[in-house]
Amino acid sequence: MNRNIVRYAAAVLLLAVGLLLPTITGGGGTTTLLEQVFTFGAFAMSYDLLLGFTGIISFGHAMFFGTGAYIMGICLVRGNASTLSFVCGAMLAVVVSVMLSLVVAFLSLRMKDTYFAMITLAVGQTFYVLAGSRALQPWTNANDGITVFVPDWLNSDYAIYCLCFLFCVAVAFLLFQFVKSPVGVILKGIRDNESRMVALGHSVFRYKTAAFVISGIVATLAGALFVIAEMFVSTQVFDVSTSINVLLMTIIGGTGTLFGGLLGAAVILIAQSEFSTLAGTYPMFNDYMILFGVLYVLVVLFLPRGILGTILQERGRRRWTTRFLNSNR
Amino acid sequence: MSSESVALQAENISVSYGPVHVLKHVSLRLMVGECVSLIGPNGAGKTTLMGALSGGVPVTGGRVLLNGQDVTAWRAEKRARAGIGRSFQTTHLFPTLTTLENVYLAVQAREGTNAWDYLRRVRKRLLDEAESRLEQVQLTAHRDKPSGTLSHGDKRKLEVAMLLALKPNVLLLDEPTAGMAVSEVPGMLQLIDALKAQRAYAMVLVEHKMDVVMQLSDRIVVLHQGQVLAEGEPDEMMHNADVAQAYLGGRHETRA
Ligand SMILES: Nc1ncnc2c1ncn2[C@@H]1O[C@H](COP(=O)(O)OP(=O)(O)OP(=O)(O)O)[C@@H](O)[C@H]1O
Ligand SMILES: [Mg+2]
Repeated sequence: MNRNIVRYAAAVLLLAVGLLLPTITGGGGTTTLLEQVFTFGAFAMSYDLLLGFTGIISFGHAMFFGTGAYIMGICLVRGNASTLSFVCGAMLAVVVSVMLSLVVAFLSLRMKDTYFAMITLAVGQTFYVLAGSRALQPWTNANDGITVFVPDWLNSDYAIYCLCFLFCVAVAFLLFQFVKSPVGVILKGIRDNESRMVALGHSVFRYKTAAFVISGIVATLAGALFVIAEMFVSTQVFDVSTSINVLLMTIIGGTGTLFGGLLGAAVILIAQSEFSTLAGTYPMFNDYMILFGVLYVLVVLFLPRGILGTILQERGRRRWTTRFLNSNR
Repeated sequence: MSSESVALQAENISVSYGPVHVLKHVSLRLMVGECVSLIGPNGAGKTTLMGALSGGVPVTGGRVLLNGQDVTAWRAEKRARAGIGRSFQTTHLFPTLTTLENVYLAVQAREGTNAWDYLRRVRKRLLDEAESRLEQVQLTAHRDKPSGTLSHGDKRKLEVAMLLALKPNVLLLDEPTAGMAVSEVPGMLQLIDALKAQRAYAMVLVEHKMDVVMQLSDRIVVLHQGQVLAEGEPDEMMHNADVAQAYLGGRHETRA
């Protein structure tokens, strides 16, 4: 009971701090950075559902993120940035992501993991090419990208920030409930030992597909918000580097921890922005991507569970030892 | 169901890995309430036969019948839901999940796959059942430990708990005492004996320890180089010359 009150209080406090954060840090660039952190955070958490909870590696998760971004972008442009076009964009994004994820799942989720990874890579690249193709220029503006305007009620830094923040909170909450649910245990079972799940009689393919669809929906919506935050979308959202980035965010934050994705997104995006600021004064920081490479190697070597994973493990160990000591007394 | 009815039947099962014929026309009939031990030297094909029965290994010939129904074309998960439960020779758990969650996954598998039912009340009931299964094998003390950190003997017990949670009517036990410390073996034997006493299960037991086999089985089937070499009552088998030669004679071809 008492614990619940503490929990609710903490949640309210966190929400309040989150909503007030831009007024503390000052607007402009920082707010944009925070919006990126929250959209990519949601994106990374959706990815962790696959990588950390179900144990499937996708090299093409950007296909969802990019699809969401383009659908929302096109809807807003075609609908003259009306509220209706925003709503339609979000709904269409969900519908398309479900269809896309089902198609990819049926193509490849029954196959070996490596095969699945390759298919996702191939599909992701197809989308990248399509987005930049001349044939689709009337819709996508090909390589030039689309500049997007947003509905009036969203037309301020703070409003967009709130949207991104609340979206990320909602995603974190819902995904957390999901992975704690019985289905979450099934997903972890698949990650741990897929053949045993089959021997027990679980329909592994069905659950993998479900995880893939849910992950796809979240990633697509994250992309839809990303385009609103940036007010611009280009083929970059479909690039392999986007898929790789989200993979690294998840790994650095800690796979299988869910919130680690948000943490990883924050670490990487803030570091990237700091480095590029530094590069303005000290040109040697222009090559900060090399430092990132080193950082990744260090994390994989010394923190294989990622930042949050390591913290949780330490806490778990301490709890366990205390219990052990107490019971031996 | 009378105790005379056939629970599981294998007819002329053959399994090949490429050019290697691991099982050659093996037939096996298992009555309800019966415990049949499958013995034979290493590499005889015992585990492969278990796989063919449970659906994990595709057969290249023959049929598998469960309660008279042809299940040869069924995949492993469907056979598991129909009542064929299998434990594995090498432990085959969910190492990062807790002991309780391991059993819970088995309970849940049995109850069907409409996951949304479990969100509230049903889930509690299933968790309770998982707990009682743990109690049955005396693992309650370890319920919140990752199963990967259990001792080997406890892992084997957990395997049995998971198997029972499926409420199968056919139990396929592949060397349940393999790798156990001597002190852990009697506990497992008691467990299997208690299951046998219920007469509700048809059991296939693969075992290398002859005393265990003699104590538990109603019938013994000897498998050698992918073929049934002999089959009969335990006493009979102990004095069978072919069997002795297959075990002791090593390389000799025992059948002319
Ligand atoms: N996946 C596989 N591919 C090729 N050959 C295999 C495969 N699995 C098993 N075999 C071969 O089939 C034969 C029978 O193996 P199996 O595991 O069924 O024997 P076993 O009787 O269970 O032996 P043990 O007493 O050592 O458990 C062995 O010669 C083995 O090498
Ligand atoms: Mg074997």
